[in-house]
Amino acid sequence: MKEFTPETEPENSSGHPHTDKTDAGLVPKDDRRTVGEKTVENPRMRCEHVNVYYNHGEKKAINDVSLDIGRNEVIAMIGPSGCGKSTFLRALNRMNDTIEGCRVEGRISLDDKNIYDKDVDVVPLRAQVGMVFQKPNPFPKSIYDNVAYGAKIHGLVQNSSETDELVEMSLKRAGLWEEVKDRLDQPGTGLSGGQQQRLCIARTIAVSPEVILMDEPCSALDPIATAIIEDLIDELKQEYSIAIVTHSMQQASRISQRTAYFHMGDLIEIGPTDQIFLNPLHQLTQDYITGRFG
Amino acid sequence: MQNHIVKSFDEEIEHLKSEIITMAKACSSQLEKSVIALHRMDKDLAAKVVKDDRKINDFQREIEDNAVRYLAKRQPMAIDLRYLLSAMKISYELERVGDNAENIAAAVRSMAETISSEAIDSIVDMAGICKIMLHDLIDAFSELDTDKSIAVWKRDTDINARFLQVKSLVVQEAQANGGCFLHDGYQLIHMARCCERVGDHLKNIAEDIHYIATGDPDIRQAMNS
Repeated sequence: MKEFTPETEPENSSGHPHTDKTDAGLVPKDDRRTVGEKTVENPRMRCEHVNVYYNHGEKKAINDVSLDIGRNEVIAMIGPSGCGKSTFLRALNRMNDTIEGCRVEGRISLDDKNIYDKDVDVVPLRAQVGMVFQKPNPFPKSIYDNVAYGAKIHGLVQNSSETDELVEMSLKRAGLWEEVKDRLDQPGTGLSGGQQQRLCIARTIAVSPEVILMDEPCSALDPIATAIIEDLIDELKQEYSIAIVTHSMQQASRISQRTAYFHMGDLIEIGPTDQIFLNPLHQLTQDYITGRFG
Repeated sequence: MQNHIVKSFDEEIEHLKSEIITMAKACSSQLEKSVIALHRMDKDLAAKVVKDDRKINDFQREIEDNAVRYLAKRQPMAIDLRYLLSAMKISYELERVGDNAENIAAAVRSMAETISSEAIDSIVDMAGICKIMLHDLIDAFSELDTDKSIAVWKRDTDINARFLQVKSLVVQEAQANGGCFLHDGYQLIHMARCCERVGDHLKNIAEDIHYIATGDPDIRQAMNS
């Protein structure tokens, strides 16, 4: 019989200088080309080589970004402050037109029509591509009028019974009907923060959008109101395309099917949300979502 | 795995890593003692191995508790998420390594002290290979080194081949020695089977390390590419 002796002495298992090999296989930080699948089949919106400049061209906020927004999908846009995600979102319904010195290049099409063509009227465009902002901003009107106002000015309703029907349907879709049906004449500003945000969503839905843009819609809400909005977003994607900017990675991972990571104006990575949060392809994405120094 | 903006998360991951390495070393020691007990027919040492398995179980519980706590507290993503999930799996695999060492030791206690068999040397060799694999895995885990984890994964085939050799050796010896070898022969095959299972658990750990480092759960694909 022989003594127990390993065939070779094992390497020392401690005292190694720390060599972090976790970065192996990731696209390096200095490579700013987009990784991941930018296009989808049969998109609702298609963005091609979009550049956005502020200060009359002095500052480039978005650098050659191309991506599709699919039908019935929630796409989340994440990235550090100043990365351009809100700027990009605002370019999707020409909200940047209102900013002095802002210029948008490239092509952004909604159902194959370039929204920056000269013959496009931004008023109906912003009904087709509605927006919900970070801070709920109901009009200083009644709950009823908040929802009915847009539909009326867009000529979507002809009489009061149609308006009643639309208000009820929009508030139901926004999950607010049961809470406000007995006080529709009260001011929208009197609702709680979460209810106000749902009222703004009802207002957006009322004008029959194709796409809903959401710019950090839950950042001012408590966890319960946030959960209600997230549940609502999940419902709404059955009918609409939703692009949401969020600083909450958990929220992005909960509600979206695809995620786009922006960094200093570049679209760094885009892909299925599960992949982005479990196994990102780019070093910058991994550093951001794991809370490391970039 | 370092360089988080939140420093305390770095400390928690480092703590978890240190716990897993300590547990792996304890398992290695248990395995080593179990085959020393076999080699020397040292029933006291075998009893100690059986008793000390409780400590391995405690390690697993502590690692799982910590990993669950960090998951809840940090809600990690990407490599951090893979690390914490795999830490729990690795601690489970190590606990099973400890159980197999305990099984070897328990078998020693039931065997005749006068036994003489070539199979014992082979079982000692199998445990020796497992011990080297475990040490290499500790290195692979410390450095998240996919090459080392793949090398360990491949080595399991050697353990499997040796198990079959022990089995046929014991059968030959049983045929030569008649019925009196039956109980001890069975115990030897059982011990070889334990080593073979240890190899399987180490192979699983190699897959876990590969998964942490690459996000790819299929180590075979990596070897093919």
